[in-house]
Amino acid sequence: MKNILKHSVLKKLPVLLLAAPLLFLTACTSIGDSSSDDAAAVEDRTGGQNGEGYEGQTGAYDESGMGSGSAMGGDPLSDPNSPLSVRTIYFEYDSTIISSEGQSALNAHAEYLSLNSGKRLIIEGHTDEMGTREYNLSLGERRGRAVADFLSASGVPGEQMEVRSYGEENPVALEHNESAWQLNRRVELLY
Amino acid sequence: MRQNLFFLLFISMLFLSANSHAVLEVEITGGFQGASPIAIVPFAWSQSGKAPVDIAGVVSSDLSRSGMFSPLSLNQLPERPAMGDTINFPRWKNTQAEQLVIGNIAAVGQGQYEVKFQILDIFSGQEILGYRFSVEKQNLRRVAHQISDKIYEKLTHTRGAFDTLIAYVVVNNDVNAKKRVYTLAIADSDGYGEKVILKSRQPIMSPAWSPTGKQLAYVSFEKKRSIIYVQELKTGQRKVVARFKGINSAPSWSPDGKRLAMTLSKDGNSEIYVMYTDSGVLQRITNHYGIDTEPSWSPDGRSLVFTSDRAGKPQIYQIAVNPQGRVGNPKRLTYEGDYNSKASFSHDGKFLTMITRDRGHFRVGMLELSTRYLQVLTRSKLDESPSFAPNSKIVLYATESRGRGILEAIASDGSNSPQRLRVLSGDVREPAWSPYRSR
Repeated sequence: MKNILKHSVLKKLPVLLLAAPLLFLTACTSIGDSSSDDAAAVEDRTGGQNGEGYEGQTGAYDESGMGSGSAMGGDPLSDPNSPLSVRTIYFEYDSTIISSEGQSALNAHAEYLSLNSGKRLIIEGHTDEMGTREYNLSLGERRGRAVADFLSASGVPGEQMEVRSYGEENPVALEHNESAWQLNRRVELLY
Repeated sequence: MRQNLFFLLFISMLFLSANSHAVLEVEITGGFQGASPIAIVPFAWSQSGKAPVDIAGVVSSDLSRSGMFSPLSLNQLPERPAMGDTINFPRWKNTQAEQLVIGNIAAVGQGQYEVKFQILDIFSGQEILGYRFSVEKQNLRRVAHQISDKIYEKLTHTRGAFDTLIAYVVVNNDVNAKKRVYTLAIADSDGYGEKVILKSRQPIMSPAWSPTGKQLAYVSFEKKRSIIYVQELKTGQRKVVARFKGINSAPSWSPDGKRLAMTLSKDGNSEIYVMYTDSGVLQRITNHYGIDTEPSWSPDGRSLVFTSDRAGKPQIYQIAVNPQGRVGNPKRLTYEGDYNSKASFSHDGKFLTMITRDRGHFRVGMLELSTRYLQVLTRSKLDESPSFAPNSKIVLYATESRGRGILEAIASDGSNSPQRLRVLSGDVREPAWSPYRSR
């Protein structure tokens, strides 16, 4: 089976669920600043990671992140055992179909967003390197929209979501083979 | 052509950078069948030591890169005459070469140089062509490319495209600093004289030359999303031309430079729009729930080809777009294979180069529009961004070799092997060949 995150196994081993993405990111942060953003996002999703480069639009995200820090019992976003810790949805080649694992993760995010109307989500679509770059930029957006549509159907208001696409421009795995491409065909959920 | 008549050519060039630091280097990775032998003698230099630029070396490299010529190696030259010397033609007849190129370079003071050359027919001993250039030191390489163009045009009856530029994106992954650096650069067509246009920690893509060659449109993610910019090459000044909600992508200049086709998703999903560059007025061209992107103008400026997956998989379509703003119905052009994308026209409008999936690999294709015959030019696996030389004789494209992004060039009729341009570090991608420069 090609899925990189073997969800059935990981459900039984919640510690690994955190460890796997972290290990992966340590291996790959060397690649670039975008993945170091991702690393920050995984280690502490509650704030700060949007500070650099988002310019005028950043205020809202940062503020909501700061606010949640004072909530009683902590933010479920930073709970490694929460289904919300799944922040990457993987896709098959040239596909925008969300797998059942992806859907269960997205259901948790939909519930969270509905309960936390101050939270905003950036839905970032990515593709593998096969095919041409501009087509892939559009394909990445289509993946992002598929996720946004799913969340919308689950009751998340459009104002809480923004779809962006990087196409094939921001790979997390740099090799030119199928296992790298599987990792790169993804939508990232950034709070 | 009268003998011994030199055309006086004064070059006043507003060229960008004189730094002849070789960042790209050209490797000839295959031989060429049917290339004609030509003798190019090192140009005689008026002073002691070495000439500031090896003009004959640049010309030899240009001509062999074209696939049309095979210059003799230096040890095959029976003598090294300068202009004005008596030439022993019987000795040259033994070399297989049909033409002999000789030339002189002389310092004439105040940083000025005089370069002159002749092409001689070895069999008749007659001059075929002769020129003289007066040039500043920083433009000597450019004069060498112009000499290549003169030779190419005289002997092949096709305008040469050596005195042109290429734009491309280089990505450097700095493992220690944990960052990725994107550089948009331009260089001479042989990869020398690189000049940086933009550096960013975020992706840069889709460089597109304006028809005058004075501006580049490109997409930059420096604000963490795709935005289209247009930058003046001479001043470095730039402006945002498209920063709509969603993606802003794939800029393409109309041949008259008055319109910029682009892909925007502001109205739902990826659609083609045309922006009038002086007013900023937008005209929507496509309307379909499928992806429509990668627009490129026909040479007459009356239609666009674009990529659409409206039939399920990406294929090439053409749509009429006249200057009055009327739009026709899209017509599908490609039926062969399940992936054809990123098409652009040859300058005579007879061919489209594109990326086509061939036996599972992404390769450079050449579609003859009159016959609909699609020829696959390359044998590589991950080709992208094919771009015609302004004489349409060569296609430059990006591909991957041993884990690295590189640029390759191949004759448009597939008659030679790919020739590789590579950077000394990083991945190179997204080549775009400039238009002709004014003569």
